[in-house]
Amino acid sequence: MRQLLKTTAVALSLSLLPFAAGAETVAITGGKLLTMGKSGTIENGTVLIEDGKIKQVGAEVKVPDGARVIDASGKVVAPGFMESATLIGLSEISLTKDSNNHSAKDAPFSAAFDVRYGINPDTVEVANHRNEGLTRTVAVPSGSGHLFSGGSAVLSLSGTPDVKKGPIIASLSDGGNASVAWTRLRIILDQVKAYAKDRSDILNGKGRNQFLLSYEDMDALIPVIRGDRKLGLELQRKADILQAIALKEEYDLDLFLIGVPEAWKVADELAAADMPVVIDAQADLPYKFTSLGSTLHNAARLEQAGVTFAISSLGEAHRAYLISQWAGLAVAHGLSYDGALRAITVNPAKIYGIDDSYGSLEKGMDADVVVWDGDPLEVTSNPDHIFVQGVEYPRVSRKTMLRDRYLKLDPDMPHAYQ
Amino acid sequence: MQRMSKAVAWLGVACFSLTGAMAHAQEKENGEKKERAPLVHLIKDPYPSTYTPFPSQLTAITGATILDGNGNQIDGGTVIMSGGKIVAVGTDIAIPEGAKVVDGTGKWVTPGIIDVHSHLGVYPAPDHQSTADGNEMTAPVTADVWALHSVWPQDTGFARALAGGITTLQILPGSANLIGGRGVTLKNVPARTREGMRFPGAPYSLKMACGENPKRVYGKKGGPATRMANMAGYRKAWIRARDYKEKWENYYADYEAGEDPAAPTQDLELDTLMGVLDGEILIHNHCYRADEMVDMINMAHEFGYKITAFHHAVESYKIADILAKEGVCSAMWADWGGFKLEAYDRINENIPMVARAGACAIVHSDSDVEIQRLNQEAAKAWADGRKVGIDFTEAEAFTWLTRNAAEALGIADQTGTLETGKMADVVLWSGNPFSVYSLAEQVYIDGALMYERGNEALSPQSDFEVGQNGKGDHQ
Repeated sequence: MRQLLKTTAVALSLSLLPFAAGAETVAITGGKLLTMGKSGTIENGTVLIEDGKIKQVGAEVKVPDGARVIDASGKVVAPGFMESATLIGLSEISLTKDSNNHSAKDAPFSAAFDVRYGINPDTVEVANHRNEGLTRTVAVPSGSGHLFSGGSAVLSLSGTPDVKKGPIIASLSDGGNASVAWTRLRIILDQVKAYAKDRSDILNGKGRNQFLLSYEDMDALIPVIRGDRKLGLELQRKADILQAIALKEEYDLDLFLIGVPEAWKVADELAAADMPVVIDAQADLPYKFTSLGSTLHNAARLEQAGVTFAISSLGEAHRAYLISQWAGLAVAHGLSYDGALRAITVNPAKIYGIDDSYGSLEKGMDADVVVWDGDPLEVTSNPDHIFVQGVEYPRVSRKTMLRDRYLKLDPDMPHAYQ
Repeated sequence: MQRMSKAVAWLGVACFSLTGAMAHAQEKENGEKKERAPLVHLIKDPYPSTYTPFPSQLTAITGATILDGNGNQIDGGTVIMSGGKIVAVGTDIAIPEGAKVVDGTGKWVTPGIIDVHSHLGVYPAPDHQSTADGNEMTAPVTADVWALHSVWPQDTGFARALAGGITTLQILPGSANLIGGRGVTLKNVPARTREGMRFPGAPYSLKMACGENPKRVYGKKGGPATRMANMAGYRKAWIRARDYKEKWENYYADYEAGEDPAAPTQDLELDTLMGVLDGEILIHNHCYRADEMVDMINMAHEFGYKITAFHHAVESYKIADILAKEGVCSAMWADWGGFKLEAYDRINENIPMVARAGACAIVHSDSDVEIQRLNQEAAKAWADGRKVGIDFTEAEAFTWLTRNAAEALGIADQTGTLETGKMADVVLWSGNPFSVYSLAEQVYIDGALMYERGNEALSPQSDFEVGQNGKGDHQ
């Protein structure tokens, strides 16, 4: 799949080309490093990037001859941030049908739906978000109306994104009322087990042939019932979180939860069940009877209980980069600073299974490195240098180009000539 | 009808008019024209504010960094509130005897934040079909509806907004319609009634909408289906309003001339539009694109009214010079956009670029979430401007949240800055309000402490949440 995406990825327009493609050696020196790894925070450190990877990190790193040196004195160096549930790549403009590829609604499949085929690596949102310090995202399918939404994709916000198969996503609210949804989910899982066992006979017409899902959708769920593929379940209220914990244990699923504004109410149970969650850290309004317990303290209380959680926009296509602001907001409401950074770096990496290559500034990791002009969680900070997998991208996007047209209006010729 | 230059005075005009009517009635009794019917005046504010400030005490906040909302920063300053008013702001100010002293050392003080675009109360949380009362999507022109009458005072969003330092907010009807109805300005105080929240004396506004929304909503039900039909729809409405206004003017003139004319039949839709033509009701115009904003300005010139502010205004940066020249405010987001094509050209520097051109810039929310941290929205825009050399101070940027917003609502003589004599609408922040880590610790409205972080007794709770959540638990 990675190969497929690489060959279909189209060339970027000239102005958006990175400074240098590929195997540049770069040393970022003198900055405050938020490594998110074993080294913790290094006050005056160096990150050495080579062949797309981080070669060395530390207070005393020898800069090799010929390396490009970026002076980060007085600046902060952090891993590029990761947004755990977005529509980036799947939606250009929410209200424009031809630019949306995130839902299997009106299609005859659910779990088998795979957003990887619809991702547009050329969407302007890639540069828009990379410019704000985001380097990894998870493109999630939105509701299909059929409980299972489909397969997600984990990608890098580079010119030629590295697209990995992500977890299957399901939305409890698409399954009917809670009683129906849980019944349906359990029946489906049981049926997939039975189907997996006798698949060949069933496909040859020799076994049971009545199932709630199509064969294709059940095929997509076989790795899920075997615990080989993660399942992300979107739900809200405490009662459903407890159901999910029971389900995970009963079926031995690699399950994580998305949404869960009431997670703090059962934080200890979530921690005991080793169930990670993806939350919206700014949810504090009781929109529905399923989210009456929404609070800005959700993140802090989850941290205190030891739950692994990621902070996400839960489906933004246009302002998903604001996860750093929302992580800061959670700090203002009791979350530790380190906990906030973890929620947008190492925790999503763990939840989505890419922590062997992304999430911290450590030797051997992909060089997703951002140099900030201040505290990256501050709303007044901006990136000065952005590397994705070792390639530096200029802080240029359609947004900045439009801005530049109008910053200096030429009175002699219309702006369209600029 | 006497034409008023200052819209804020219009309630006063209504009272004056009633007095006039009584004088006419007496004249009728004493004079020879006994058969004349009494002069009819439209009651312009049949649902007046019943808000009265809550009890306050003489308070001095000392040693704080003050942004006065007028573009100035005072370090180590003192603000004194007495009788619901600001009575002193500055350094070296004597603390009056008996004043409650709040130590503001290391903290910041600003005017209460004003959101000129909110749907709190009309699109409340809980968000159900039964509570969604914000958009009268039944006809392209519904100038007869008033947001006031949809406001649900128990919306859980008001308390969250208060915890974010919002002391005043304008509630607008939604934007499905060419002319959607009247907006209303509220003080952000908990109340049992709508009238109990109304900002006393604040003028009504009229919500209009450009572009995609009317097209989308009415395209398949009789139109408008195009931008040109949008324009035709507004113009037809203004022509009707012009005729209606003329009818009333003729009626008054005839009456003054001693005749006994029949008063025109009251028309709720045209009352509102006439109020705009009379300069009493302020136009707040949902409009994204630069070309459409200029359409609206041209139309305002055609019919002789003034546009107070464009809302959403994601393309204001393209015509900032025109907006400055015309004296029209832009109420903008820091970084929303992309959700529809007319919002595609948003840039992060819109707000500072508009301000740099000398046009009136306002940060608005249109959201029950962003309203809780409008200070951060301003901060983002301010920082992005600075990054490209538009170097406003934080104090100057704060005017986007307070003074400019108050001006757009016609209440700048009462709130929006920390100046002697103004309402004591004041926020004490735990730190610099341009930081994500800073929170409103105390929020005063008319000098009364209406919110205090961590103090359960001063955490208002909607009836809806009683028995559901701990007080202040969400904040």
